[in-house]
Amino acid sequence: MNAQPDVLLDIKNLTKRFSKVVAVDDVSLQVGSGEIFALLGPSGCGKSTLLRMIAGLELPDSGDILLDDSSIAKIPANKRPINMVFQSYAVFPHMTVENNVAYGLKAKRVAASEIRQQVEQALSQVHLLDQRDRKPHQLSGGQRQRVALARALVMQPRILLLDEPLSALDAKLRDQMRLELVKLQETVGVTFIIVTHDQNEAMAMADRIAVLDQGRVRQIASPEELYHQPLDTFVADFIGKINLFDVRKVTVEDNRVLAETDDFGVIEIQHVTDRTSELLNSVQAVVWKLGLRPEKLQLVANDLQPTEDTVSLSGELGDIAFQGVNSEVEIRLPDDKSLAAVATADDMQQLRQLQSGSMVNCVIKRRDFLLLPESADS
Amino acid sequence: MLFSRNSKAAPFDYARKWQLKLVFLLTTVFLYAPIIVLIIFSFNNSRRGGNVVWRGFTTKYYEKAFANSQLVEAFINSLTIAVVTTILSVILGTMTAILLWRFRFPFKPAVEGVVSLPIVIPEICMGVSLAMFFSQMGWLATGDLVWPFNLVNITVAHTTFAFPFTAMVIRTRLQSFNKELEEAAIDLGASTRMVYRDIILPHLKPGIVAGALLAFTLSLDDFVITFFTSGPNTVTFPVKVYSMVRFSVTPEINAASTILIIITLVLTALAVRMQREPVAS
Repeated sequence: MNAQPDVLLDIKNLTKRFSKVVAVDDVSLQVGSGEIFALLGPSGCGKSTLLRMIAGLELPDSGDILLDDSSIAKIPANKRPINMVFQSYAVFPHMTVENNVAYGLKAKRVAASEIRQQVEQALSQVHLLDQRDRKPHQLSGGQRQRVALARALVMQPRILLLDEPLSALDAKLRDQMRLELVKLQETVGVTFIIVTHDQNEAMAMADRIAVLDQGRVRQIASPEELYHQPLDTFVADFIGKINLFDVRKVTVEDNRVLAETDDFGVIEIQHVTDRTSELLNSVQAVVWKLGLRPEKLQLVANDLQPTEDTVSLSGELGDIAFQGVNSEVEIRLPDDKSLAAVATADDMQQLRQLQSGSMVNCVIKRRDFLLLPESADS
Repeated sequence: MLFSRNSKAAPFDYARKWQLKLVFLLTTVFLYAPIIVLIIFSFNNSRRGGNVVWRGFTTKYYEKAFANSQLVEAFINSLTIAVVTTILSVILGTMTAILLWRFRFPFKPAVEGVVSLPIVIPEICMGVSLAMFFSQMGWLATGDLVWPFNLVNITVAHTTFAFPFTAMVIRTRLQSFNKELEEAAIDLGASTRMVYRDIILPHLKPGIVAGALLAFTLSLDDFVITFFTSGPNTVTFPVKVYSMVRFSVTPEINAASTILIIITLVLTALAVRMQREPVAS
């Protein structure tokens, strides 16, 4: 879903300061109708503040928020057709499940008979119909989250905001809830905006992800694009693991981008992002790095001669973290740098015969290298 | 064996040691023996309450206490003052607590200090100052007014020292309020008024009950401040008991005190029951 569907939410140059700290710094992004959009970033990157501004719980210092092409920036939170599932779920402790879900409809003065019907439907959507008379303290964490979900969905919001929806659940329940959320979104068709610091969560659920750092948007793209074509070292490092190599010089010859390195000589870059070509054409001083995803390091037992398409390197075998299907292998280079590689189950059979500290060889395809500008302030 | 199983103490093992049991027993006896003696001797068939010789069981001093119109009047006065004080203290205390919890304003620390001052000021000073205040205002003459308006100055005095306690208890309760609950209600379309009615006040209920109980008991048994602020013709229960004791201690006083103890116990039990509401978020 790379193509942008019709724009539902249009955020324009949004800025929010808390005394001297800029929490959200000139953020612009668009969310399409019916998508799952994730705001991803480390803690303190401004993603929660951005979400709260969309909800209306925080007022922007400058910029605008458009919903269906009309500004909602001045509409108070209790009048916006946007609802939120809070991180603590914020289920009202003194009300039954049913009354929790009915609360928003009662505030809207919907007729009692209609409330009953809509609450019933919302509760069945989250499989809580048989718990309707319980109080929140009688429910598990997962059930409480479902109450919060039903309570928001029953309002039929244009956008549902979810603040770290899976962070409070244990690992197993988290996987289950993740699938259920995606399924629920497909059923109800409401646009979801999810805030998370967990890249796996964002990658698994979202159609598109905005990576934020220090209040600024680093990149907005699909999970695949973020992984394979990160715009800078911050995104590359935040989305999955990446090995970085120093680059001495980048030159452009006949539309070919060449990176000169100490480790591998001159590498021709295959995938040049728009941002990279923009930076190459500008006069800005940029520190370049070569990036390589761990799974692109192919471990070989014998000393394989590099072909035209590949380069090789060798290093000591370091720690191995067994993770089932794939294992993470550390390779220590002579210059004290260490690289991350991925070994398949087959590779592991061979590696197991080797001792920690013995030499291993790796083969890398030249076209797998990514050319990344180092992010200015990370 | 060097490490026997018994050498490891379980959390409540200290209660098994006889020395500790003895301390516990003595403490309990010192605390409650006088009260129990007071209750027992309210049934003593003796002329004098100070007489600790058992002369047979009787309930005649209860009948006598109820027949003593002055004592009953004092008792009703005390209950009236306590109820009104409780209501005023809860309203003022809740408002003060929310003001100090929610808003930022100039000189807030000073306001906080002034509000909690009546808790630490010696009662005698408060009594004197209130007496001076009422005499300046010409309110000491309220004793001549018709009931219950003759109780106005005592009620005002009691509210003055009781509501800071109520505010303190409610404010403590507010500390545990999850602000996301309020935001969730607003997000669902609630107005500010609805947030208070549906979310904040239900959360405060245990604090309000505890604060109300505190105000009620503080008012019911207050002697010092009442003594200074009551006019010559208005008498509350503690003041009346004091004046009766000055003549002679009769089992009638024991009987009246027992009734007071029972009222307090019943109210406390009720309050504890009302607070048994689950507090999980």
